[in-house]
Amino acid sequence: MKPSPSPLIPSNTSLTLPPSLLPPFSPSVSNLLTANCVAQAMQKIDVQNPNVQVINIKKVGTQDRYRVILSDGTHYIQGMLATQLNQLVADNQLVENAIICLKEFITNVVQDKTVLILLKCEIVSTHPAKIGNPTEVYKADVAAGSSNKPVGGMYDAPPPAPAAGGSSNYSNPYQNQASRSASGGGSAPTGRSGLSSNIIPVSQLNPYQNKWVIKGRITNKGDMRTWNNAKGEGCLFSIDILDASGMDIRGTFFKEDANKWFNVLEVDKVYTFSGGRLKVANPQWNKCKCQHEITFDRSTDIQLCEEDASIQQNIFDFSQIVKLESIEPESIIDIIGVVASISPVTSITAKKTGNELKKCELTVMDDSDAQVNVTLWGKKAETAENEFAGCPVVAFKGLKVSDYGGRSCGTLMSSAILKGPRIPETERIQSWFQNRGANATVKNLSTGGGGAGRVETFESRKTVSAIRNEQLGYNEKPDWLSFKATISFIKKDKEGGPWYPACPNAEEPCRNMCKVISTSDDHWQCEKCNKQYDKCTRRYIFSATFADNTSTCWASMFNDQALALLGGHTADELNEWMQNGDYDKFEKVFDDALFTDWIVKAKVKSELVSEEQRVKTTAYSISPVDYAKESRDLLKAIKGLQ
Amino acid sequence: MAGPEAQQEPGFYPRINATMVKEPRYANLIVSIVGKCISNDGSSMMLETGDGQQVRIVHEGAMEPGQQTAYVEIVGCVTEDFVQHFVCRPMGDEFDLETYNEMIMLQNTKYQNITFQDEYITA
Repeated sequence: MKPSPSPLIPSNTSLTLPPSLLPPFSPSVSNLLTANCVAQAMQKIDVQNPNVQVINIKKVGTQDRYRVILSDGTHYIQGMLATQLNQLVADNQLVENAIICLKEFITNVVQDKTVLILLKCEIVSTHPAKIGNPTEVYKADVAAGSSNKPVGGMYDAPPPAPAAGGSSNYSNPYQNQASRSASGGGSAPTGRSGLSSNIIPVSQLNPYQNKWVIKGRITNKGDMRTWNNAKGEGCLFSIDILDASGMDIRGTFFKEDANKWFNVLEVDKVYTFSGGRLKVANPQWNKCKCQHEITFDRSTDIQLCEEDASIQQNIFDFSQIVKLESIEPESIIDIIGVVASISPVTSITAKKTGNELKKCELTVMDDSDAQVNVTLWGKKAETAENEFAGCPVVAFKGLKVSDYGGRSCGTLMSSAILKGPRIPETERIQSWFQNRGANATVKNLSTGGGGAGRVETFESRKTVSAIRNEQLGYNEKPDWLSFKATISFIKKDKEGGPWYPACPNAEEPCRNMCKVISTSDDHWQCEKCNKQYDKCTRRYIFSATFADNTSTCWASMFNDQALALLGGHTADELNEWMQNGDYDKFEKVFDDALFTDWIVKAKVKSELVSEEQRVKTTAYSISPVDYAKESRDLLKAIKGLQ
Repeated sequence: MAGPEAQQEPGFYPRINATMVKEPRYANLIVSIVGKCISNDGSSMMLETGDGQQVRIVHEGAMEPGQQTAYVEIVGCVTEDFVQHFVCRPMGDEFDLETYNEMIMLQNTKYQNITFQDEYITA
């Protein structure tokens, strides 16, 4: 007998189910769970935000993966939780018999059965028991091979023989062909013409389907890297792919595949990608938005596409350069600005690996009227001089902020550099530069730590009182500041002179800086290089007070700063005079230095000195005041007072 | 500021330029003028100050022509439309007159209450 249509199905529904699938009348089911959603989902009928009950949760496999059994009260079906939902189980929110709303899910066919992959869900409520007496949806007489219509017509045709995972009527990209499911490598899919309709958004990639195609732009291509360890050796490189939806994903090539594709793929070009294994991304190294990453392999096929304007060149979140001062070191940021200068390429030997690293420094300025050093490494450094000639506007993505020299940025392997990006910011920076940027003073955040010792600008300076007022020096790392001050006192009365004897060996490991001890026969013994010398190089070390109109402070002075202060007279010279009895000459050098003005770059750090925390200031570099420039800066500042 | 009968505190002098020499408030005051030596005929010299104007310094042989640096500071007494030289200080061969002029303009106009405190000039 044909049952009357259930009152649970609204009369305006054009969908009619075969008799076996009509639910029994059950008010409790209708209130909590979305009737028939399991059967509908299984048949690829579009169902939005259905409520289902989780009647079983089980951890499977070696990693944290959860298999769930979902029920709509009538039928149940197997599901897998995507890893981003694992937290719900860990927090005990997703528990057995809970009712959840499936906000986002996809269906996947595994071994002839449809499995729901849950991407996003919401806990609706807990429930004391299993609702109804659901049966496995496959046991029912289901037309597995019917056509995929969102709002179907009558199922009049007799159901075909169950199962083959899906017929070729389907153009559904989520469906694996049964005969080819679960095979790892294998040849590339045939029927290339079908590829374009199979493109899926990057966000839908998951380890349970291995026949996928994505289309995206390569936003970054890392350098080829090699490894050699106990397990063997090889080479690899990674790319970041950005698709039209704005999500990016990392893909890595190894060994032969790396060699095969490295010279073929170009940054900023659009390709379709298929073939490869998906795994969960490691957020420590992988900063892409997608929670998965791809390991490309022999089955990988990549086709160059025409330029597609719907796929952005990259997704940036620019910080103003002037704001970098308040950004914590180690942060990852994006900036865009004009490359004002490029330093020559230099080589550095990495301490850990002994590898030689090439580097080069750019100065980049933007319309926040500030500039910062950006260090390029590796390949990017070598090509910089040609790439960035002519003061172009360049966008940098994924730079690491460091406090070297105050504030500076460096590229990582994952950083992306885009010259003249097709975004509105490029135009904005370009016109700023043309209108004023080229000649105006910009605030330099990277004052050249160990390098040229560039003087800090007037605006970035503080006063001596800032050391106390701002409680500088108490952080883990030393604080830096610069101020203009006058030398008010020099403590030169240390026995033997305000210097220490240093090793005359100018090479490693001493570099003229190691203390030597005088031996009994008037020679000097160096502990670092283990040699004896008959002459030593004396290097200044003393304290002096710096005073400005706000405060006075003690600062340690070492050889380089002292030489500047004392008009270039070396400690050896002064020692000579002392030995000869020329005390007047000696005194005059210090007298001449008294009450001179300097722009001081100082390092402030709190240290434990005989059980007391003392804030120590070291004069890292001092430079004479250019009075004319200083006057101009002061006048400008006075004008700003109105 | 003080009137013509005012007594100037010893050691204090306002810094002015050529234009200001003609102003009544500086009449008979000891002032300082920094400028570039334009000409020197042995008994008086012409200085060009930061405002682009020139002022005559009467020194009566105290400054030998050709013996001065390019820029000098003259401390002297404003007399009619010239300055009677008292002291000359060499200022070297390079000097940013423009910036200096900006400063003295601020000192003598907007911020004169800071520059010329009442103790300095007694009525």
